[in-house]
Amino acid sequence: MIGSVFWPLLSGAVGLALWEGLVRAFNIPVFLLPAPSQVVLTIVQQWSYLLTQLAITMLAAGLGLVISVALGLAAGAAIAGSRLVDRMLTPWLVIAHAIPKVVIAPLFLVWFGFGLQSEMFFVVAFTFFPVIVNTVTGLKSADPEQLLMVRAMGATPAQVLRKIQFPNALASICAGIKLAVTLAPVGAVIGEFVASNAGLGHLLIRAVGDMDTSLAFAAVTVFSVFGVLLWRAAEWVERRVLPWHPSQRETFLLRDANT
Amino acid sequence: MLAADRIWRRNDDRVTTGESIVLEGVEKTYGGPGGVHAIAPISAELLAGEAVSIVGPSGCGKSTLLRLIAGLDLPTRGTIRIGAKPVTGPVPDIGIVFQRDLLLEWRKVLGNVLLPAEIKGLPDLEPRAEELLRELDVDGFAQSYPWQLSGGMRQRVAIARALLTRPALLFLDEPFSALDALTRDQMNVLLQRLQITQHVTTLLITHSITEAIFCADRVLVMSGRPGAILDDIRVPFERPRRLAVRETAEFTAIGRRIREHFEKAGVLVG
Amino acid sequence: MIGHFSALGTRVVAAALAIGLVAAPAAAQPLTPVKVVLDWAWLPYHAPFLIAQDKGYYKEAGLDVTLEQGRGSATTALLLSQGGFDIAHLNITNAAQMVGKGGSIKTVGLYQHKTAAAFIGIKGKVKLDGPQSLKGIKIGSTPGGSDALSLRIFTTANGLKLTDLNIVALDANAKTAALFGGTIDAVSGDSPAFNAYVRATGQEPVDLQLANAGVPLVGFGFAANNAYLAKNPQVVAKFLAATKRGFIESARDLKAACQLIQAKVHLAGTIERCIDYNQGLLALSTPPTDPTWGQQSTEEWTKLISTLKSAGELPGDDKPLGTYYTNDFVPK
Repeated sequence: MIGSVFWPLLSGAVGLALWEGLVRAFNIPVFLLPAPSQVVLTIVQQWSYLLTQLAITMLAAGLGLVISVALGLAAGAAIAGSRLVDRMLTPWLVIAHAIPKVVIAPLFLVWFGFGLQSEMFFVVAFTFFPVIVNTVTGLKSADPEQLLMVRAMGATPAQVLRKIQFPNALASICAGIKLAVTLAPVGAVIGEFVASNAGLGHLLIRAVGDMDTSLAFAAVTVFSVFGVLLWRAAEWVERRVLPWHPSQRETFLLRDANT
Repeated sequence: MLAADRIWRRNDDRVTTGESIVLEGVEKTYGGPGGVHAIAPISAELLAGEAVSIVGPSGCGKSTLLRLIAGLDLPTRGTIRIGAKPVTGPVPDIGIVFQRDLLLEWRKVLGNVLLPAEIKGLPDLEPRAEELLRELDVDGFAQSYPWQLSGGMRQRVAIARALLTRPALLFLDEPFSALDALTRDQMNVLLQRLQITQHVTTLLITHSITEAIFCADRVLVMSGRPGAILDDIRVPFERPRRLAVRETAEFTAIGRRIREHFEKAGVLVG
Repeated sequence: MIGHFSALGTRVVAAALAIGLVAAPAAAQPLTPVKVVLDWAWLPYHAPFLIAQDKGYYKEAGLDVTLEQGRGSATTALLLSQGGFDIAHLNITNAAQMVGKGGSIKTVGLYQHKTAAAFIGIKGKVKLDGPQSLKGIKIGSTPGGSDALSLRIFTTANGLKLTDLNIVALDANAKTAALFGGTIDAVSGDSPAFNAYVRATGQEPVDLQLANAGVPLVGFGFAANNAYLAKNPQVVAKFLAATKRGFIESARDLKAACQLIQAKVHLAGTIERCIDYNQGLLALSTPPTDPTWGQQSTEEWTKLISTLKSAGELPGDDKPLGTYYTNDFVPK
């Protein structure tokens, strides 16, 4: 247990010390590369500003994520359930996913204006695809014999979806949602670069433009820490949802004797 | 023991339990005329409450036949009647046990057993579920997940699930083939004990000659492609049976009779 | 009859009347809402707007002004044309381009008559003493940015070809870092900004102002959405008048202006850098106290349009000057 905390911490400390040393040794100006000590100082000094902007970004990410998951599950179910829907809908989804969002970003600004609505659109644009793909795969991976069995019991198509296909798809769906959870804040920030005057993305644009590099680093640090926390939260939820899944079981065979 | 004797005598008094199954000229061909002729015209009658086993080599069509009777597939020709009703679609009152237990990994054992009740909308079957688990010696695992059970235990849960709604018919399609030999013997004993306590017409598909005889009152020998009934053998042993009965002369004689059919058909060379 | 009222009751009624009379003017006309979009995110030269808000100039004019940050004058012009906003503060060269493309906006005031576009370098590291001195040095420019246009016009006006110059394509934000990092010798950009940034690092800038090198482009001013202008001419006039007051006050005390904007919108950098930036822009603009502040001349517009046309920036048929600008709303 100690080992799983000590070594990563030590490694991080060494990295930070190197960074600090390099900045001081070569006298790198703060607007090019701030030292970790400067970044920490900035975080402390601008704590409430950073947090309020983070809250805005995360609000957009959260709302967009909810919409994305809801739409993604529905679209995934529709595609998995009908070949016609699959053939007609999937090409559009692939195109929408392949278009570099940053390129069409200015269009969003013109269409939707500055603010939360544009950001949420971005978040959805970034996150819908993994949700849909994983939902479709999950729903299609139901054991054919189990489907036969419940049909023999007299199950309606709705019952088959609810009792067999959907629970069976949960592991895959959870994977898709975990991907979306990590992409949502990124989508929100990029949305803010272009179409919002609040949030961490907006802060970053201004900080970089104003050459306030330590604030930019501070924002990125805060964002990253939060991103890691989000991932952990998603894993926690997954553990609650999939207690029965092999991925959640202890695998004694792979345990190192020294841990 | 006493209860079992009483029920068996009731069968002798012709109080019918379960339903009868009648097959008339049932034939199945896949892929249109000129395609795979899976089952040659078969006619048979299974009495209500009988325990019947069908034994045959792989590919002879016995599983296909089971699916036709269960209404999961339709015959190309001929009719099947359960009770007096013709089979035109999935028959509602059947419990089926497959070779794979097909337990839902995300539900606990009790939840798995209750699945048919949920689907058919039948309430208040939890006491029966628990009683069945007790009968099958897995009641301590009602709150466990399937992955925590051994293969044999999982199959017992599958049997409990099949019997939950008190179906008139119990079909078992090679239910013990995936289990090791000792567990399989245990399951044979269990099954024929169940046949006493649960009043169902039982149809057991197997490729084990010993199992076919031990678990049934009547053995239908099936072979060939297209599948056909080669023999219909009465099994005289009293219930409840013990494994030792398999070593009696009468038992081995029946086994020999069945084996000879397979040798003649070129399925066994021995 | 009066005798029936208690002494206390009379006093209560009198007090209520007094309060009502005092409160009445405050509950007077509701303020007219105006949606204003800026050229970019908050920068030092936006201080006048915040001063006008803070000191109540807009309120006195009966206006409730919301200021939205922009994302470049080109985008601002587009947003204004779409009607998402009523009035914009933006680079008027971009406004002219928008009108040329058929956008429904009109310039209602221009206070920076000389473009801020310039080449800026660090003293001692580069010499920028004439158009020819730009050959052979690395110049950072943003492709598709406003400086790309001024660059083209500059080369044409000075007998140079774009290929004569060693241009390094850089993101707008990366230009500053590249200049200080030494990977480029000069940036093509706005002089008030870069001069201030260079001085803030304790170095001296050198620059070559394109306005002095044959580039008749213009700088900041105001534009309005045509439909809005037709429906609310008074509002636009009042807005410009109140904003002028803000400009006057800002120029009068740049230190206070910078302190205000820094406090209000988290502006980065030192007060000194903010003041420096503002002074640089003021040097290219009409002084706010000047009675002609905001007025546009036919001559400068004709020059601007013909320059843009020969640079290929105004496709389609010629439009009458009246479509591009009007002086009707400039404060007297």
